[in-house]
Amino acid sequence: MARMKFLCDTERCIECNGCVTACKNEHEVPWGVQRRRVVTINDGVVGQEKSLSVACMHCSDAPCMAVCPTDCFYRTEEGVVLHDKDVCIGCGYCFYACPFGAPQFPQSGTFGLRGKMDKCTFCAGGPEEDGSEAEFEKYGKNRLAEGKLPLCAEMCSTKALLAGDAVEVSNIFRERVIRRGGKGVEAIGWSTAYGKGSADADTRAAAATAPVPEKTGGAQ
Amino acid sequence: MNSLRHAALLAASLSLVLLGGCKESPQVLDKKAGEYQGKVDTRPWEGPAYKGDKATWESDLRARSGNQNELRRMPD
Amino acid sequence: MNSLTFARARRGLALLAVTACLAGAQPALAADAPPATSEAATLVQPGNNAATFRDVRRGENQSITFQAPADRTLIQASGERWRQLRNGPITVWGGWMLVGVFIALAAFYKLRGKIMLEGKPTGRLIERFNSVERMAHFVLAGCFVLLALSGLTMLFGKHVLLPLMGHTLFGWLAWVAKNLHNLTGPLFFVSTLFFVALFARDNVWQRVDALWIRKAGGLLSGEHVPSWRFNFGEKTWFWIGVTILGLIVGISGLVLDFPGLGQIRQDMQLAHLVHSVGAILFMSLSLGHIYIGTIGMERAIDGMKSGYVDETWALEHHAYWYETARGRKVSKDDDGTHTPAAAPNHH
Repeated sequence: MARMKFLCDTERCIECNGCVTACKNEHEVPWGVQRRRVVTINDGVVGQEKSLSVACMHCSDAPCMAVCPTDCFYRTEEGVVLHDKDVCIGCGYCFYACPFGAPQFPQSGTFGLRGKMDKCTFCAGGPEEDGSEAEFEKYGKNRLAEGKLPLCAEMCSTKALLAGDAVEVSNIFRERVIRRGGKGVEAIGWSTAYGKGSADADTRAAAATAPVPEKTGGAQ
Repeated sequence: MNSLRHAALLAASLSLVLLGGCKESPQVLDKKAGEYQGKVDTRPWEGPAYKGDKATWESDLRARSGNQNELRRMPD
Repeated sequence: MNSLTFARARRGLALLAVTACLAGAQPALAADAPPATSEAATLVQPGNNAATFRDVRRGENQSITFQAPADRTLIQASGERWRQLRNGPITVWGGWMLVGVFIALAAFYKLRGKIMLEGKPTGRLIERFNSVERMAHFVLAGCFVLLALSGLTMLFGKHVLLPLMGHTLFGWLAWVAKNLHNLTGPLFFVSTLFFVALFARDNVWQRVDALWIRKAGGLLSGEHVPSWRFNFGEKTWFWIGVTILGLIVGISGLVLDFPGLGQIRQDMQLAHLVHSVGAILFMSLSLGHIYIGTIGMERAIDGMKSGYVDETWALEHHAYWYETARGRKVSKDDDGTHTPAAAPNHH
């Protein structure tokens, strides 16, 4: 069914860093690793300050996957990019290639030796038994297997961060944009993450032609 | 004359071969049910929570996606 | 009011459709020409963020509350270029270049065969490399072989070994290779410095080298071209291979090996490109060096193995060096006209 995507609305993000904290807590990620971060553009400049929450965007043509020397990445049927920590060697190539700075490495030992890569899993765990202790230890909670969406988006207080099926997410965002008379450029990273490749071409086409939800009038 | 043509042909084919190095072969391999590009992983609806009930999982997830839209919950 | 809302809705929808269809197009696509600065844009069109995201693409005016291990760049575009260069030309051309050099050497061996001694060995030995020199060589060579094999595993293993061994076994092998590579690297760099200091004096240009270049070292003709301790081929390997490529690969490798010293992703992308191109050239040259030092030439390995070479070998391959070792005088300016007094067999 779904092609999972993240979307962050710059008009709504208030840089509370709640998503960052929620993610760290939910998955008990290693020290020094932040799977999600909030970047502010034009910080402190009146009228120009925009904030964005960014993590792995689960790209259609994922650069991390392309450059991995051990081919440890895979894409699930829902378009979520996951990796196998048993195969990862911590070389850092995915970190060089990723446009969003998603891959993170815990330091292990002297020499700045990189440990196994850690990144956002779209709360979908990894290649271990769903909900098992081993999966939690390595990849964190598997909320998708519990029928839940990523915690960062679900707990976002302003609903700036949206997650879920691409069609649903674009519908919500389109409705919002129409209400406030924006131009639809308040979402960031979509052209980078989902612009290339044919994996989601039909999803994008569907999103572009989907009917506008009814409640669009009465914007005050 | 003939050797000149041969040289030109050789140079042209060599440059084509070299150009071939610039392309990138697709990295996404075949997909099989329950196995992704050679890696074994259960699909989200195959865990203890849904026990393979894909339809319920999908509708649950769609409902939660829709819940993110506060405009639909807001009175007019 | 209603018609205004409707018009805004229409406009918004049209623009959204355009942006959705032309994914990858710049935000500046919006119909009205956007003001030059993001500040001006925000004042004129409060709802239009196109100018702000032009700043993002340029990597400007960005900050972050907590210092994430990644830097404050929101989207780095250079990663894509790095990926295309590494997965494209470096992997494909580099791989075939190594294979090509290997095949060329095999063909040379088939055609020319092993370069044999012409005279009979005398049994009298001349010291060619003392124990410090041999140790420096083998530490460097040992590091080089480990680094080359582990580096090849990381660049080509995915295409060559992975299909044979599967993800689990190859993942373990690549993990060993990466750690071996990272630990051997600094030792390689230090021993390169030591090696260069040790051998630089005997690798400077000497007049007779011009003759070696003119005759291509006699490699094809089989003629023996006189030389001092090192001929021009060895000097080329010393300066271009060990010194220049060794230092390039060593320094760029250190940038990658110690990621916590303030270098950003862009620095490491550049370092990686330099490192991999340099390493492939270095390995290609090294194949030639290893060939001629082992199966390519009779008794060439003696000097590095035991430290001593036979007088016949010395006369045939390094005539001027042999002459001086025998206590005779050869002018440093000799351009190749001097002929060695006599072959050792005639004594």
